[in-house]
Amino acid sequence: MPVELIFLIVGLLMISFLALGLYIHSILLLSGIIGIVLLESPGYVTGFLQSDPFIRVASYSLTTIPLFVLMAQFIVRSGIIEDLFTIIYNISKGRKGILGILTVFSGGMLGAVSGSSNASAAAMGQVAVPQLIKRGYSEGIAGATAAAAGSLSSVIPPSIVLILWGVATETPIGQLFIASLIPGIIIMVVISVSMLIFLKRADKHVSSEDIKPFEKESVPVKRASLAIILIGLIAVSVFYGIYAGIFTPTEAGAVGAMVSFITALLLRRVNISFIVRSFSETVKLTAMILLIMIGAQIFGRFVSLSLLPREIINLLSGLIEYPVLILIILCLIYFVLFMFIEGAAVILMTAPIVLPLINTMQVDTVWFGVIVGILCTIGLLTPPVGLSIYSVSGVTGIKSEKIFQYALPYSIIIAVVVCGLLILFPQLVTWLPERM
Amino acid sequence: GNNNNDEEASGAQTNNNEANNSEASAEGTNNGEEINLRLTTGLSPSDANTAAFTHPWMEMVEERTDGQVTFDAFFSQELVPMGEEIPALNDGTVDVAAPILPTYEPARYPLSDVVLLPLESSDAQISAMAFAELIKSEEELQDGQTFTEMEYGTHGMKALPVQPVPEYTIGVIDHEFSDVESLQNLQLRTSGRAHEILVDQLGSSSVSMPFSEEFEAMSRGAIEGTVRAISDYEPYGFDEMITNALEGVSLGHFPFVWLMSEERWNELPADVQEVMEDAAYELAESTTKLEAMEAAYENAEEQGIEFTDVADMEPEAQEHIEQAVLNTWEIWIEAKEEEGLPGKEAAILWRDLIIEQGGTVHESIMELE
Amino acid sequence: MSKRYDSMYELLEKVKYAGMLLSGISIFIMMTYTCLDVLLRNLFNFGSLNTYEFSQNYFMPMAVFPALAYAYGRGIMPRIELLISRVRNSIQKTTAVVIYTVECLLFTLLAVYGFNYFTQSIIDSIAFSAGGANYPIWPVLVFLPISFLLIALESLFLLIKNIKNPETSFTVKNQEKLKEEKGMEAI
Ligand code: NA
Ligand code: NA
Repeated sequence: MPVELIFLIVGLLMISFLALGLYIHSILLLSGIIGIVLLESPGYVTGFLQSDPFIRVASYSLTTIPLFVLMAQFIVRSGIIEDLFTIIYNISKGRKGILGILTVFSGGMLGAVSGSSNASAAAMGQVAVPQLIKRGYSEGIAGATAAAAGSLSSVIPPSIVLILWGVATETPIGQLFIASLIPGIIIMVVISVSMLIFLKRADKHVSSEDIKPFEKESVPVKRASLAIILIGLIAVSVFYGIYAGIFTPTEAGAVGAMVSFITALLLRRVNISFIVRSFSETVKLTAMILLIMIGAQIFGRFVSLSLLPREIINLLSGLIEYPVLILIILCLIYFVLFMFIEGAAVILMTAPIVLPLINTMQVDTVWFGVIVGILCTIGLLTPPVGLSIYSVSGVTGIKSEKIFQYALPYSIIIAVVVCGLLILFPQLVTWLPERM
Repeated sequence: GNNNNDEEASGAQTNNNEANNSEASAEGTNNGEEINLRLTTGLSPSDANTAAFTHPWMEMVEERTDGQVTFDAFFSQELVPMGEEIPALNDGTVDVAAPILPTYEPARYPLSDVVLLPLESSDAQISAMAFAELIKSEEELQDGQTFTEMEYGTHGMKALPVQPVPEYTIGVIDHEFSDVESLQNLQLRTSGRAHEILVDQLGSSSVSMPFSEEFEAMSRGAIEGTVRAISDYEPYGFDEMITNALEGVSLGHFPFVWLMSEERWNELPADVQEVMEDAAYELAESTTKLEAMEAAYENAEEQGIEFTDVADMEPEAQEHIEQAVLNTWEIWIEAKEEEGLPGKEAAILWRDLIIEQGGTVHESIMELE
Repeated sequence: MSKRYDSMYELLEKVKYAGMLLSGISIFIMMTYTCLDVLLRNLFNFGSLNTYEFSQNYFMPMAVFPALAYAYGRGIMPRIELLISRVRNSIQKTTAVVIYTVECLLFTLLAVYGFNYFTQSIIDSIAFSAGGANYPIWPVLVFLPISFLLIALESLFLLIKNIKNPETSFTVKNQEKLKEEKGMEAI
């Protein structure tokens, strides 16, 4: 059977599975298994099904997922976030847009200490979403904004995605990190502006009677200052620890969780229920993300085995006279791949094939790496495999469709605006590293 | 797809061969059928070792068989995770693993890290030739088994040599090597047991972490340096951070090995087998890595990395290094012997092969009997 | 649902709950162990505690596999309900039956392969090395087939429930009850 036909069959199956409402992990697993069986033979799936579930989970870099979620649990359950948002709410006189912007910029800050978007999205979801909803955000906007804010972790250094790209293509990682700073800030601005537009449009549908008038919410001064001090303390200890070389960004998850736990202890919030609930939420989310990743791994094996991405990209070299066209098509291919397959797998799968093409076109690998990093980040927000969305949905209980409703526009806006800007003005990426 | 047919075809061919030559040798005549092989490696396609071995080896085999043999290569663990190569070769997920990193799996390949043992002097070429000799060595280490039989044959694997990584050294950030103390109390990243012992014997501490962590850890000072080959610096971005490195000592080589299941290997026509073996042994003589190392030294100098020759260090420091090297060999041997492995035999065999190829070891190592 | 169904499900709930606690404790230990490593390294220049190897091979699998069935049973696994929620109830119910048949089969398959991987790891004495010693992987691999088997069981319960009951369900206990029972987590 020709590979193209197999892809058509598997593609149609996936769409029907999605429409039927099958679980995402099972859609990936089943499509992957069917694809591999069609390409090879039933016996051929054995190796993958035996070892991939364990190998996928046994990963040091993924330890950030449970640890950052645990940290967020400890912080949320100690009640300081609630106080912090109330303070901002009071200061901003109820203009709720400011809270959303605060969420986006907190996501950026978290991004500077976390290299993994899933972990950050989950943390942002737990911390910010309930507060945003309480202040009048719809579930969809609140969830999508938190997910988008968390996704910044893959763009703002340190970033696991950029490290992978750097090693797979021998691009200096330090330069990639510096180069992604300006795009990271642009994305933060783009998310904030889009959020304000979404808010405005959502409010149009609400009759003015339903809009709650601003009422200053009271927080005792002592508690408010304590909240600010404690959050500051947690942030400073994690930031300082990373930038002073006391621990690595991966270890930061553990240290952050420990500091938050000690904070909760000092606030006398810790009891059996505090611990059991924190555990329960943390393991639920970790298990959910990893089970989807296992499915995505098997599906990724099918895509690898088919050699189709290689063939498509090889076809592209026929368009070598139109470099901008190739770049736009490459962006589209990456957008689609990141929609369905987990980020790291996509990078490892495509780097060997894309790199020669990029080199022939004399495109800067730092610049292209940053573009790939951004598209990878976006992939976490798009259905059907939008791990950041599922993370937020998992911790908040908001249905993932509601979040996708806003996350998809976010991702398209980021893709078009940010990637467009970077293609038109490559200096946005290359300017900083050249000066270092 | 095509691959499927090829596999069935070669499978059928084997059965014929087995029927025809009932003798142990399944090597058959070449009936000219196309052979498409899946090749896996955990290394990236732009890795120095891929450039020095995997790419040229595949090209040589494809050319010399006039395109009868073709490869679909999967890099960076795209199809098979590192450490899963043997099961993948056995169940036919892939046909060739080229190369694997045996020192990452000491439980499976307990003696392969003999290549990591520290030497006085050696280079990419010396270690490559010595390793090729080690792989084809007939010397029986234990129970009538050679090194290759013990390490790879017991897993049902056919092994061919791949050039090891050029000589390792210690590279550090903002730190100068001069006296004994300058070798102590450092946090260094290591990637194998022999180096853990060495760093420990020097009086420093070894830290293990994946490469993706190494860059961040080094750039923030969570570790002070790394035990690696200079040629690793640029690809991993360390050349921009490391300021000082040792020379005049060779802290061993990181070995790689080519594997195929004996079953699958025996299905290949004899002339194809010969082409594959010859290509691998010829590549042991390749100067690609030597040249890469020269380029790496040039780049390191451009980046302002300062090299301290061990001979220019204080005499006590030189003795300290030699003592640490000797202790490393002894501790390594003892640990292997405790596991019931021929540690001493393997170490002496490796030492002699290194010397045969023009490398040197410290005097005290020569006295090992 | 029948009494027997309920009491058998209660048993499964207890097993899953124990798994959740085990995973939670593993994450807590991973946190503490990593912090200890950072502390010893910075204060006493103490060599590594091999956090990397232990986190990767022991703590992470223990953080995930024992809790897998618990997470699954709470209805947290995502699916796209957009289209299916708009069709007739009878079709929805048929779909639910299809979904849980698929789930049950897939996870039984994974459990079988997981068990093979587990036994193979014992036969081949698969180990990882840390600080010069080799540590076997089988003790954590035990949880691989068990976790998949528990999910297969959970989907079997859901399959039976969907076949027997008039309404469509995606958790054995209904969501309201699950929320109420959040208190139970504090036992
Ligand atoms: Na980041
Ligand atoms: Na996606």
